[in-house]
Amino acid sequence: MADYSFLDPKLLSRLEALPFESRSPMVGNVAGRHRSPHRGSSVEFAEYRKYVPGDDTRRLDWKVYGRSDRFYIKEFEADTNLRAYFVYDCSGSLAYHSENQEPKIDFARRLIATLSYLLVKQGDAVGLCCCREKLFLDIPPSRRPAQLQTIFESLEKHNPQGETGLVEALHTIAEKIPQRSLVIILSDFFVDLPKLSEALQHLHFRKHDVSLFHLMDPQELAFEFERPQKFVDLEDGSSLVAEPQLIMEEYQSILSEFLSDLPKTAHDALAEYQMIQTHESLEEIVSAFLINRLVR
Amino acid sequence: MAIPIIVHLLNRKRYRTTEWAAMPFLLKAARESRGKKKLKHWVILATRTLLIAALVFAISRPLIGRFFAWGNGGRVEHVLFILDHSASMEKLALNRTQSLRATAITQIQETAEKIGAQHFSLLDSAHGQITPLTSVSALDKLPLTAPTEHHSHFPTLLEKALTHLEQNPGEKTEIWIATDLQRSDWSVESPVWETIRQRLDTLPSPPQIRILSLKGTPELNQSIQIERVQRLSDKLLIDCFIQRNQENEIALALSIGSQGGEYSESIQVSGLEYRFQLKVPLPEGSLNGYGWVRLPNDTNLNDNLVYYTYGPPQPTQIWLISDKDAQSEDNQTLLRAAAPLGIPQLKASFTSPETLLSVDWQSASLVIWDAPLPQQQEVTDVLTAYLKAGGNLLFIAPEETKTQAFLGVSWGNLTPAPDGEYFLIDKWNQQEGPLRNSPGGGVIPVDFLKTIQKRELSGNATTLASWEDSSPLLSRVLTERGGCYFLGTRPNLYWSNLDQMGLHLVLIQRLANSGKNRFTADYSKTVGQAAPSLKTFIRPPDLPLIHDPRYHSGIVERSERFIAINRAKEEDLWEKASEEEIQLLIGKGHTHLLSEGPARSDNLVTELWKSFLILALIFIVVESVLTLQKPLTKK
Repeated sequence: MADYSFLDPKLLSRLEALPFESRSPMVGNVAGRHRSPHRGSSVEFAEYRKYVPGDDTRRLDWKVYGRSDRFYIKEFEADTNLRAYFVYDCSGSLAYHSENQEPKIDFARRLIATLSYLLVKQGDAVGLCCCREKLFLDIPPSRRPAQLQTIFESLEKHNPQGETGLVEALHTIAEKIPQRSLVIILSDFFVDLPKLSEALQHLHFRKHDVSLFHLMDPQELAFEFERPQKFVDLEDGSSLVAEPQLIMEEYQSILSEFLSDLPKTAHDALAEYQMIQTHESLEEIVSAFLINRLVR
Repeated sequence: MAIPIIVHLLNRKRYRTTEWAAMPFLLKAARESRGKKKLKHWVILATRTLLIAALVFAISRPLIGRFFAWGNGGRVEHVLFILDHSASMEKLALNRTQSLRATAITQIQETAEKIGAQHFSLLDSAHGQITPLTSVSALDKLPLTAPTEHHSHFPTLLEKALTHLEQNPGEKTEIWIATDLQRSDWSVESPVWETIRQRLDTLPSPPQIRILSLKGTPELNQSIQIERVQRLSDKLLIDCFIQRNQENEIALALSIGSQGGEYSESIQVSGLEYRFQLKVPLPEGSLNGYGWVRLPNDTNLNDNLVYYTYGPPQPTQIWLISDKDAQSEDNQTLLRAAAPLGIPQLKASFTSPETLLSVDWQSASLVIWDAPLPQQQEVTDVLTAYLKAGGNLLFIAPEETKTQAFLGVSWGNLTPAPDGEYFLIDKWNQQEGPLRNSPGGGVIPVDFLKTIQKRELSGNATTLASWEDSSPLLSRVLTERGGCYFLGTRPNLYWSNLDQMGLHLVLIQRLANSGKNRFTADYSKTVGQAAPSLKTFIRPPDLPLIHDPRYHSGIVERSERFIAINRAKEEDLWEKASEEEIQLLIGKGHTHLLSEGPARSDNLVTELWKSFLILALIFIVVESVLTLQKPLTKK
C-alpha cells in the first residue's frame, strides 16, 4: 500500500481491536459479523415457529417434538457483512483551516481512511461517494482489500472546490443504494437544515444506518479576529468586509442556533451525530464512535 | 482629535483578507448587526474621538470664560491693561461689595494669573503712563491703582498703547480695558478714533483688545457740582447742581463745610436733575476762603463732594459803548439796568465808539455795544482780544441799517410788526445762556415779550431765543473763553417792552456775572490741572488719607489764595456708550467686549483642564463598556 499522509499505521494498529458494529441489521451478500434481518444459520438462537409443509425437515427440533408431539422449526439469526458508504463533502468550504489547524478536508480524509481500513479489515464492504455541486464520484462498496487502495487514491485525488450539493447528493445516494447500508456523511453541513432533514429522512426511509460527522474548525466557533477582515467565501468567491468585533455576537448567536438545530435534525432521522473540531484527536473520536456503537 | 477617525479609516483600508467557510452565518450576522450595531460602532468611534479631544484640551489647559469666549488662542506674551481710573469707577459694582475699579482689578488680576501672561503692564487713565509690573498679584495693592477722582480720555490712552506697541513690535500683546463705558470718558465724537483705527490696522500683528465693561448697582446715586459762586458782601451765593439716577422726591441732608466748621441743611430734591442756590454766610472780614458742599454717602463716594473758594469782593464793571448821547433815554435805560441804584458792587460806565481808549478792558465784565457793528480793524481787534480774555460782549440791534459784520455775523433789515400785532417769542434756551431758568427752576417770562420792531441777523451764530417766524431774538457766538451776544431788538418803547418787563436787566446782569467769572476762573480747577503738594492740600478731616493729591479733589492753598480742585464735570455725566459704538470706534475685528451682567459669576475665566480630564476618564469608561466583549459561548 502506498504511503498516504492520512494513514497512521500506529493508530490503525491500536484501533484494530475495536469492532465496528452496525446499529441496525444489515443486508450483506456474505456472512459477516453483523445481524441480518433474515433468519440464518448462525449459532445464535432466534425463535421457534410451527412447521409448515415445505420447511427443511433438518431444522425440526426433535426434542420439542418428543416432549410436545408437535413440529417446531428452530430458527437462528443470520450474520452478514455490512456495506458502508462514506459520503464525502468535497465543496470549497471543507478547505478551510485556521492558523496552525488542519484543514477540515484533511481531517475528513484521515477519518474516512481509518474507518475504511477498520471496516475492510473485519470483512465489510466500503464505498465512497464524493460530492460538490452534485455527486461526482461513486465508488461502489467492496470488501476486497484492493478497495482501500481505490478509496485512498480518490481521497487524495479530489480536493475541495465549488459549492456544496450535499443534500441533492444524499437524495441520489438514498435512491441509488439498493440495500440497507451504513451511510457515514462527513461535511461541515453549511446547508439548509430543513432540506438536509428531508435528505436524512429519505435515507432513513430506505433503512440506512446514517452517521453524521460534523467537521468544524475551532476558529469557526470562536470567531476571534482583532482587526477588520475581508472574508472571502471558499465556495463562491464572494466577499464581505466586516469589523469582526461588531458582528461577533450575532455570528455566534446564529452559529449557536445552527449547532443546536443540526443534532436535532439528525436525531429526527435517527441518524447518529458527532461534531468534530479539527484540533481534536482522531483516535479519541474514532474510539468513542466505535465504542458508542458497541454498547448499544 | 481626528486621530481615531483616521485610525478607523486606515483600519478600514488595511483589512486582512481571510478565506472563510461559514459564509452563510457571516452574511446573516452582518445583516443583523446593521442598525443598533452600526450605531454602537459610531458611538464607540465618537467616544474615542471625544476622548482624544478631551485629552488634547486637558493638556492645552484651555480657559473658558466670558472674557475669552472660548480658549485664548495660545498664550499671551504681554498684557497691557488699561484701567479706567476715573471718578465714576468708584461706584459700587453689582456685587455691592466693591467699587467698579476694585472689581475690575480683582478680575483682571485673576485672569492674568490664570492665563500666565509673561509680561503685564498697567496704563491707568489717571497717571497716563505705561508701568511694567513684575508681578500681577500685587495689582490691587499698588498706589497706582488706588481710587482717584480723575477723568479718563480713552482716545489718548489708546494712542499711548499703540505707540508702545509700535515701539515693541515683537511681542504678542493683548490690550485689556476695564471701564464703565462712560460716554464722556470715551469721547465717542473725537476725530482721533479714525487715526487709532488706522494705526491698529497698520500694526504687523494687531492686538486683540478685550474690554471688560462694568455696570454699577442701579441703587441711588447722586452727584453734586457747583455751577457758580457769587460773593456778596457778607455771604456767598452758590449755585449747585445735583444729578440723580432716580426721579423720586427725597429729603437730602447737605453738609456745608467751611473754614469755620461744617453744618447741615436739608433740602427736598426730585427729578434726575436738581438746581438750587445755597446762601453761605461769610465770617466777618473774610477776604479769601474755601468750603465744600457734601451729599450723604451713596453708591459712589467719589461724586458727593464739591469744593468752592472765594476771594475778595470785586465790583462788576459794565461798559456801555453807544453812538448816542449818554443822556439819551436808551442809554439811561441800559445804564440803569447795568448798575441799578443801591447796589454798590455794580458799576456802569459810558463811552462812545470813538473813545474806546478810555475803557478799562481788564476790569470789564460786560461790554454793551449799542451802535452799528464796528468797522475799523483796530476796534475789532480790541473787542476780539477782550472776548479772548473771557469777557462778554452784547450787541444791541442798531437803529440804522449797516452791512458790516463782526465774527461773521451782521445785522440785517429792520422789520416792523404789522399794525396792531407784535412779534412774539416762540422758544428760548431755558437750560443755559442768559435766559436760562433760575437755580430754583423759575422760568424767565421771555414769552411775554412783545416786539414792535426787530432787526434781522445773518451769519453763523447759535440762537438762544427766537420769534415765531424763527428769526433770532438773541444769538451767541462763543469764542475761546468769552461770549459775543446779539440782541435783535431794543429796550425802547418803539421797539419792544423789554425794559418794561425788566428782561434787559436779567440779560445784562447775567451776562455781567458770567463775564465776571473770568476773574475767579483761577480759583477753580479740575483734578489733574494742578499739581498740589500734600502740605498745602486741604480736605475735610473725616475723609480717608490720600498719598498723591494730584489725583484727588480738594483745596489748594497758594499764597493767601485758595484754589478749589474738583472732579471734571464730565464725570457726572452718566450716559454710557453702547457696545456697538465702542466696537465701531476701535474696529470690530479687534475687539471682544464683555458686559458684566447681574447673573455673572466673579470669574472672567476658568481653567478647564480638570473638567476635560474628568471627561476623558468618563469617555474611557464608556468606551471600555461599549467595547467589552461578551464571553464566547462554546457548544
